[in-house]
Order: sequence, then structure tokens, then C-alpha cells
Amino acid sequence: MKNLFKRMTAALCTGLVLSFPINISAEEIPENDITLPSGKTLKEVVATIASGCKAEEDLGFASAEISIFKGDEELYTGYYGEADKEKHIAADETSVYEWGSISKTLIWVSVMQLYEQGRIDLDKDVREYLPEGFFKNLTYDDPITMMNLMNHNAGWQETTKAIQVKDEKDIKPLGEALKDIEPAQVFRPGEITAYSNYGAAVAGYVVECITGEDFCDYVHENIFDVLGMEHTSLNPNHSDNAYVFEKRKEMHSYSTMFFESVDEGNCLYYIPCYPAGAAAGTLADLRTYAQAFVNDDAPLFKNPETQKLMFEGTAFYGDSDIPENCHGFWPEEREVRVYGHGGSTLFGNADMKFDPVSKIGFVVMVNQYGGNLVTENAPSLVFGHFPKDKYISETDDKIDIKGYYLISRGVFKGLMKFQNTLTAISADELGDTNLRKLNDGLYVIEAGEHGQFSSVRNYENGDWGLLIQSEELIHTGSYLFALALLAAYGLTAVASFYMLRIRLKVRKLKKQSLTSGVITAGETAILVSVILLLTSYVYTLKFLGGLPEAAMTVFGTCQIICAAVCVVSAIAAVRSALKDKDKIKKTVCIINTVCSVICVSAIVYFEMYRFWGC
Amino acid sequence: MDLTVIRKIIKSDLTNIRGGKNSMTSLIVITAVFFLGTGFLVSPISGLYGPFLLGVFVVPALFSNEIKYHSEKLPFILPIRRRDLVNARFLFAAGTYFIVCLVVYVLMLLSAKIKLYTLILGDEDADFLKVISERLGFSPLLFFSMIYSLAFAVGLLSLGMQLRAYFKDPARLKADLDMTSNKNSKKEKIAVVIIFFGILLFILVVTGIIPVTTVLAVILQLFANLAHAGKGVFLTVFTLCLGFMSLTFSYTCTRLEYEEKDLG
Repeated sequence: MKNLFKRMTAALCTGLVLSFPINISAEEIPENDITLPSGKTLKEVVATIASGCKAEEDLGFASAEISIFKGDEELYTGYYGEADKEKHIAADETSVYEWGSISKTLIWVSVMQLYEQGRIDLDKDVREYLPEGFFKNLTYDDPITMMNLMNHNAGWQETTKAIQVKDEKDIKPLGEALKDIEPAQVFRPGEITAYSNYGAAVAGYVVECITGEDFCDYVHENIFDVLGMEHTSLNPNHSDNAYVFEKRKEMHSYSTMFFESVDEGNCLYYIPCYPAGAAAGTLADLRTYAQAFVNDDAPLFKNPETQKLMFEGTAFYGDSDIPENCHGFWPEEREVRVYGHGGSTLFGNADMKFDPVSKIGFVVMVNQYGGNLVTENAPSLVFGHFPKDKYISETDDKIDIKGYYLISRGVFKGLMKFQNTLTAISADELGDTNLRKLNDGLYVIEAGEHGQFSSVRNYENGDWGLLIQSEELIHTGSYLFALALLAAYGLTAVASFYMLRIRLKVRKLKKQSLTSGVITAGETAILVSVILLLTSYVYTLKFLGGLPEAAMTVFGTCQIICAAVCVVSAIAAVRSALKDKDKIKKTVCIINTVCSVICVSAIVYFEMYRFWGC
Repeated sequence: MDLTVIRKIIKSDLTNIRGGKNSMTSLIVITAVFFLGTGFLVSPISGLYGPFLLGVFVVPALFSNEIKYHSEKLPFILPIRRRDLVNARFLFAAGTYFIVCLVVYVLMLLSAKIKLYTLILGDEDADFLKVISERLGFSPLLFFSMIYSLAFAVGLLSLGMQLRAYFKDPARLKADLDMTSNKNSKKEKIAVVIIFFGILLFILVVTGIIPVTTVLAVILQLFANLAHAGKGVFLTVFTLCLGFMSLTFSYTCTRLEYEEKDLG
């Protein structure tokens, strides 16, 4: 069966290749061949990318642009697919894509520029640079330094408010936008790594406060203009670059459903906390930017030593000297150590990686949410995989990964806390993944041919977790209880639904009520509570990953009312059960009490009522 | 609940089933052989049809003779309480359903163990259950148990609805079975309209015209988490609870409706 499937797939792909020529021009295929750090030649890599894009053209592939460079030399640039499939507009050098979180590197470069000028102390509490009383949701008195922001360990949970908006009118000045989305601080600064858009945007605001000018203006003056990047914008609505402003509207984003490409329109959303991810521009500009980091002259700094310092580790795995983070840049161990940052928005994905030693790097941009084969494979094609042979030996301890883990980049406080239960990872899901203990607190997570460094972290509350670059998997012993409670909560809604229908039936047939109205109200409240929970989750997905404040207030208030009604109903049910001699009524009261208790427990445990301070 | 009376009612129903020609029973047997056969010769996944079909056909199979020989009103003149009749028939139907489903489940587990289908197809990889389950990150046994429990729950829902419909209007069930009813009742017309719109809605959802993906994503995410937690025990318990709740609801409604029903 497997062979038959393979033959059919091959035949299908061949047919597709012959029928639908992919957009790639002959002159773009490199003439001079070099061997990349992965061990593959440039021609091999280009051929692999081209054939892969061809094969996927009718399986939902939209467009991708990739440029591989060495120092200031452009080794290869390829444009694949269409930026607008309906109008058949090919992806080319004029196309504009979104940087996503690669924008954060603009913050880190700006900070290092200020550091070079002696205008910022990376180990000072950032509150000294920010307006008085800026943070409202802090839990710990510990200082939050710029290092914490760069290392993403200031302790903030994922924001529950929408960080992207659909209406341009909702764009506010950076300081105000940050106040609107401030999440709760749930970890002590420095303890747990949890990737934070909010934290990075705060760093951008710190730059604004120190320099006295808009962060966007600062970046234009000190980065874009310096490098001659004339086709890149940073403002949420791209108004800081006329070319990007116009061109971005023409770009379409695509998603894939059942191997079919779905046109999502131009996906033009705005990020008020723009330093975290609003940059957009051409491939050439992004390549120019990346090339600056492998340039020994360090054009972005007065002193090249500052750029070298920027790529020194600021957080490490265990007690080893393997860096986990380098002043905001994420290092990766492949055949060589590479630095860079990835980016993802609802429009598409982008990636930037480079090796300052060989000066080889690549940039890639696509218009598909979640990326496509080019963003997935470019790193390994150019730089290879994690060098397992170099770090792992058969004598290294293999550790069984057991239990359940919560992702540190999650919600731990507030009415979206239940999402953690839905996104938790079980060790079983990790399949063939092995955890190998090396030395100095250094571990390697290997999965097939892939691998990456990790370390085990012990927390002050006795829990422990696995650090995997920008996030930690926090081991939890209460996951099964939480899941059981959530499932029971869902079942109480079904039970309440049936109970209400039975009441209606009894009233219709016997012309009398089964039990008092208070108890009926309790069952209704349970149903309403579960519907509210599902609605809030759907709302979150619909509103680009967060809830508007008004919606949070409504959901939270309604949950408080539901909980109160359930408590009153449970008390009434208990009293009724004790008083009534009718078996059926007694049974109904007992069921109501149990359901009400479960519902209230779930509302309290998952903080579904809490719409403030998170 | 008077267990003696219930036992007698069940015995009487068993007698009814054995008496006369019961084409429904023959149909059940043929269907069972077919799906058990495919379960051993193609894939254990075929066994999932068992609970689905049983849920639909067990009520007609058990009571078709009673309808055929117009003896559905006989219990009214016997010295038995209506609630005992409802209790007995629900226990009988649910018990039959449970036992048969258990047998099918055990046989499918056996099929998954001996893998006769790989020998017949001559391909070790011709194990759909293994392919699908491993792709989703489960062991074949665990995956099959989870989806079988889901099928079982759906069958219970169907069984409850069938029994309730039978107690409400046995003649109607006969007309549906015989397909002799020439009267297109209002309910049938509404059912046709609902089915039509249901199909239309399905097409609109699949083509993305109606974006319900976020709602489905929420529900599927919860199911996926339940599936992975506790080696699938959570999801199994969850779906079984849903099934039993629906059966309990049908039972309660039947009790209420039947006790108020006029003999005419």
C-alpha cells in the first residue's frame, strides 16, 4: 500500500510539474557554486528549493522569496509563486512582505546603539527610564532590567488582550498601547524564559523614552537610512514609507486547507505595539539588514566591538557556555552556530539567519501564515542540522521524559487561563524525542535527525521545567486534575441542557414545576457559563489572539453572576433535597448540587471571572 | 423498581422475538456477519459500523414482531405498571446493545492482534488502523478504543431516540420499517427540509463560505487534549458519559410521556 501511494504521488507530481510551470527565471540560477555550511552546494540547495516549490504549487503553495548571501555578496535570490494568485501577480523584487518578530531585532540593535553611547545601563531597572507608575500588573518587586527584556525572562505571561487590531483608528501611541495590553507578571524576573511580545515592545518604548523621539523615527534615522533600506516600514499602518504603504495593499496572504490554497485577502492588520512585529519591506532590504551583521565594519555601530558584544551570550543553558540568547538574538547550533530571528504574523512568515564567522546567511519571506516548505527547510539546507555527533555520545544518559508540561508562553492568570490546559503537552506527544544529559547542566533534546540544546530548570516553588530556547516546558503535577475539571465542567453543561429539557417536558405534561425556579436558574447559569467560555475562546481566535477589554469585562462579569447563581441554586437544592420526600425531586436536586459545585469550582480554578490585572 | 416484573417482561419480549419470522433479525445477522467479516479481512476500523448500526436497528429488531402482530397495546391490559415496562425495555435494549458492542469490540481487538488482513492483502503496511493511529500519535489499540467509545456513545444516543419514538408511536415505527406509509407527515417534510439544509450547510462549511473553523477548532482542541491525556482514558470516559447522559435523557422523557399517554 505504501509503495502504491508513493507511485501515485510521484505520478501526480510529475503531471503537475508538466502542466503548471512555476515562476522562476533562468538567470536566477547561480552560476558560481560554493559549498554551504550544511555541506550542500549552493546549486543543490537552489535545485531542492525550486523542485519543492514546483511540487507544492497545487498543494496550497502561495509564494516565497529567499536570498542567500556571503558577506556583502548576493549568492542567490529566488522568487517563487504568486503574491496575488487571482490576478497572477508574481512574487518579485518589488513585493513587500511582513518581517513579523524579526522586527524585534531593530529594538535590540537600537538598545545596543544606546548602550554604546552610554545612554542605557542594561542591568538597570527599566522603570527608571519609563514614566512613573508605568506597570500596573507586577507581582514581584524585583527589578526588571533590559537584560530581562532581551532574554524574555521579565516574567510576563502571554497577553490576553488583542495585540493586533483590524481598524486603523485603534492604533494608539506606543506608551498608551502598551498600557492597554499589559499582561500579569506571573514569574519572578530572571527565573523563567517566556517569549514576550509585550516585553520586547516595552524595550522599544524605553528607547523612545531615552531618545525623546518616536521609536519608528529613531529606527529610520539610525538603521534604515544608515543601510539605505528605502523600501521598509515600521509604523503599524506603514505610513512611514510610501512605497510599502501602497505595495502592501496589493499583497495577498494564503492559508492551506485540505491542500487547497485559500485566499485570506491582504490580511492588513495593525500592531499598535509595533516594535514587536510591524516591520514590512522587500526581500532586498531585509537582506541588506542581515548583511550588516556579518560585516566586520559593523555599519550600525560606531565601534565594531559593540556588534561582537551583541552576539555574546546573555543567557546560557545550565552552567555551560552554550548561549541560549544573545542580547535578543537567538543562537542555534547547526553545522555552525548561527544567529538570527524568525517572524510570524497572520500575513506570513519570515526568517533571518547568519553565521558571522563564514559570513554566510539567508533571509526568507513568505505570504502564508505558518510558513511553507521554504521557511521550514531553508535553515537546514543552508546551515545543516544540529551536529549530534559533535555533542552526543552513546554514554550520555538518556532521560525518560514523563508527565505533562505547560508552555511558559501561556496564560497563567485571568479568564483565559483554561487555555493552558488545552495547550499543555504530554510526554507521549513527544514521540521519539529523547532527552540526553551531557554535562554542566546541559542537555540535548533529539528527535530523529533534529536536535537542540536544553537545560533543566528548578523553580522556587519546587516545580521544574525544560528550557527550549525561547520557552520553557513547565512540568505540572496538576494537569490531569485540571483537565478532568474542565471535562466535568463541559459535561455539567450537557447535563444541565438535558435537565432543562426535562423540566419543560414535566411542565408541559403535568402542568407543574419539578423543582423551584432557583434550581432551574442554576442549571441555566451552568449552561450559560460554558457557552461563555467557548465564546470567549472563539472570540480570541477571531480577534487575532486576544480579547478586547470590553469583551473581557462582559465575560468576566457574566461568569461572576453565573457562579453566584450556581451557589444560591446549590444551597436551595440541598435544602430541597433534605426536605422533599419525592425520589425524583431528590435526585434532581442532588444532580443540580453536584453540577453547581463543579461549575463554581471550574470558574474559580480557571479564574474565568478575572477580567482585571491580566 | 420491581425486578421480578421486569424479568418477566423481558422474557415475554424474548418470546416475541423468537416467534414468527423476523426479517429484521435476519437483516441484523447478515449485517453483523458482513461487518465482522470486513473487520477481519480489511481493517478493525470496519467494526465501528457495529455500534452505529446497532443503535439504529436494535429497537426495530427487538420489537418488530410485536408491531407486526399488533401486540404493542397488549402491555396496557396486563397487570404491569407502565414504568416497569419502560424500565424493562430500556434495560433489555440497552443491555442487548451493550453486550453485542462488547462482543464486536473484543472481536475487533482480536482482529487487530492477528492481522489477518495483512496476510490476505499480502502487505505488512496494509494496516489502516496502524497508519492512522501512528500519524495521530497513538498506539493502534488506544486509538481504536477511543473511536469505538465514540461510536458506542453515538449508538446509545440513537438507541435512546429510537426507544423513545417507539414508546411514543409504535405504529409509526412499523410504517417506517415497512416503508408503507403513503402519508407524508408534516414531520417527515420538516425532516427532509432539515436534511437538505444540513447538507447545504455542510457544503458551505467545507468550502469555507461559512467560517466555523474557529468553533470547530475549540471543540476539536478539547477533544484532542482529552485524547492525549491519561492514555485516552479521559476521552473514552467523556464520550461514554455523553452517551449515557443522552440515554438517560431519552429514558426520563419516555417515562414521563408514556405514563401520561392515552390508551387510545
